[in-house]
Amino acid sequence: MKRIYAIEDVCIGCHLCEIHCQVEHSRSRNIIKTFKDEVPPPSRISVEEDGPASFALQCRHCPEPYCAYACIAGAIYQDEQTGEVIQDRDKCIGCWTCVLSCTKGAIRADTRGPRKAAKCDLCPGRETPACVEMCPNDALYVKEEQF
Amino acid sequence: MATKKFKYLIIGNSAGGIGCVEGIRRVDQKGSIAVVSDEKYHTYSRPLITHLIEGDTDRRGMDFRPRNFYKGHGVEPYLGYRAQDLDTDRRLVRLNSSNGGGGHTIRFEKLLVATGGKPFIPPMEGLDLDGVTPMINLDQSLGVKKKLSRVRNAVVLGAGLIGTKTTQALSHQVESVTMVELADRILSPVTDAVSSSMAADAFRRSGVEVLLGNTVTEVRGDGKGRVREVLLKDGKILPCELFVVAIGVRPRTEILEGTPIALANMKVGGGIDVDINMETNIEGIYGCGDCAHAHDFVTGGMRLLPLWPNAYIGGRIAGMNMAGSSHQHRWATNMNSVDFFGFPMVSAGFMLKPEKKGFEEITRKENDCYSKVILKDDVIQGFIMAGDIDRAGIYLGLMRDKVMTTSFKKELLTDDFAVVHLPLEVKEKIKQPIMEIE
Repeated sequence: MKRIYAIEDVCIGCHLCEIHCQVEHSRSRNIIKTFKDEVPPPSRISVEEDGPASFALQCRHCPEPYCAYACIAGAIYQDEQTGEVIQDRDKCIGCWTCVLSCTKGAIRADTRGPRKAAKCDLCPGRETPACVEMCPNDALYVKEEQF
Repeated sequence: MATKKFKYLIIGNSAGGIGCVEGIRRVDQKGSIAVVSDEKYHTYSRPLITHLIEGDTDRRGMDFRPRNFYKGHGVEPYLGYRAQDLDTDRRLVRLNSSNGGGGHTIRFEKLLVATGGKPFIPPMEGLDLDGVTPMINLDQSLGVKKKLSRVRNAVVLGAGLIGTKTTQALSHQVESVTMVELADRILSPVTDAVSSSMAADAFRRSGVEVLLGNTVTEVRGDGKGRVREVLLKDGKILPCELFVVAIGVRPRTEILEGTPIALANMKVGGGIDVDINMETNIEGIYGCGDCAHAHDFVTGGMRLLPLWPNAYIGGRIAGMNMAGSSHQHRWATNMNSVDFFGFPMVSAGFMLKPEKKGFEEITRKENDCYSKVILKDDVIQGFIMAGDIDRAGIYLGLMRDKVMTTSFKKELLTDDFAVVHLPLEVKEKIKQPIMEIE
């Protein structure tokens, strides 16, 4: 399976990964329209900063996904083939149990419309996830890992 | 009648039962499995029964697993059957059709009892009237949904998790809802005074009447068998066409009566007395979920934790152990997440600082947001986040791993507190995926 990793020493804390994650998950998928005409979706990756230290973190697609075990709606599951931890957005009712359960703090509340949790989906349909592709400093990379 | 034989028998088709199927299949892809439930439905997400009334989901959206789940997992479902006459020596159980049809005798090698809870209903006059219901299963939810068109006023007794969620759902559907709670605050097991009053304000802002320190003493009918009003302890009368009793749930353990399976003392609420592997005192027989005890990773003791994640993981761990693995359930504690009218709130562990040496609490309140962390000797023992719940799970992880917060305690409740503030070793661990269930 694909897993995204950050190189802390290379991250310059520019937050562009967050911007491009928002664009990728917006209605228009256009950077101008996302921030000008839409209510932008929450970023599913977050750049964490503490003085000079910074790195980006998103869903780790844990082999033991506590968020999926905790989900009261059966809306989060592990893909049997790829091991990816997938959210069925239609089933999600925005109870935030996964937000509380993710010990990485990698699931966000999306309150634009009906309440939904938002987590990294590895950008289905894209060869390389948007955050990785758009990082100007190559601080993010994709690693193929055995599931 | 012929006896059917299964390697694994699971009584319960909700979080615990399904977790058990998935746990067994992690280890044993072949062994035969039967799942029994007295409810006739495909496995559904029980906590969504109030959301069905509210209208944020539909019957199909409530499926806890896809419709091909039993087939795909090699499970023979006995839905609409009540399990009775458990014989732990001969490993037999009798299944009787809930609607009076035929039955089966099942022989099993390993058994999971995941029978869940039953509503606690205090004795009072008028409970048999039409329009009076508990709210713990799909039939009750569908029953209320069907009656909504002739309900103008509803009363909900109890402001715990079920009561508050039912109240919120009804407030979107009927003219007026009154929530009556005997305690001096709502959601008392999962809040402190500040967060409880913030949640109560969210209800009141949305037009719900919240009555505290009061209770219903009598239900009165309209002479035609339907509820007309309820009488409160203080003498007040509330007219209503729907009265939901949501005081609490108790472990459902009738099937164990007359068996040697040990139950916990009633002083701690009863429930199946399992060990940390989810096994009972009888080898090969397990229990999990609302009907059983679980290890609380904060207090270190065994207790009832009638919460969905605890039921699922307890079932999953029981299943893996039934199939021959050796795992412990160390993922449970009092943890809850709610959202009332757009006001989110999560909490876990201790909600109130114990009056014991070494405990301290840090709080922060700003506008509509409130957060609190309870520590003992700098290790997190509980937390509440209300209004802004971003990254709440980090506290849960630190609490579960008993991480010393001394070096970053100042940062704990700052706006941007995140993994980056943690000591190197802790930080690197959190950045990695969780590989093991323990």
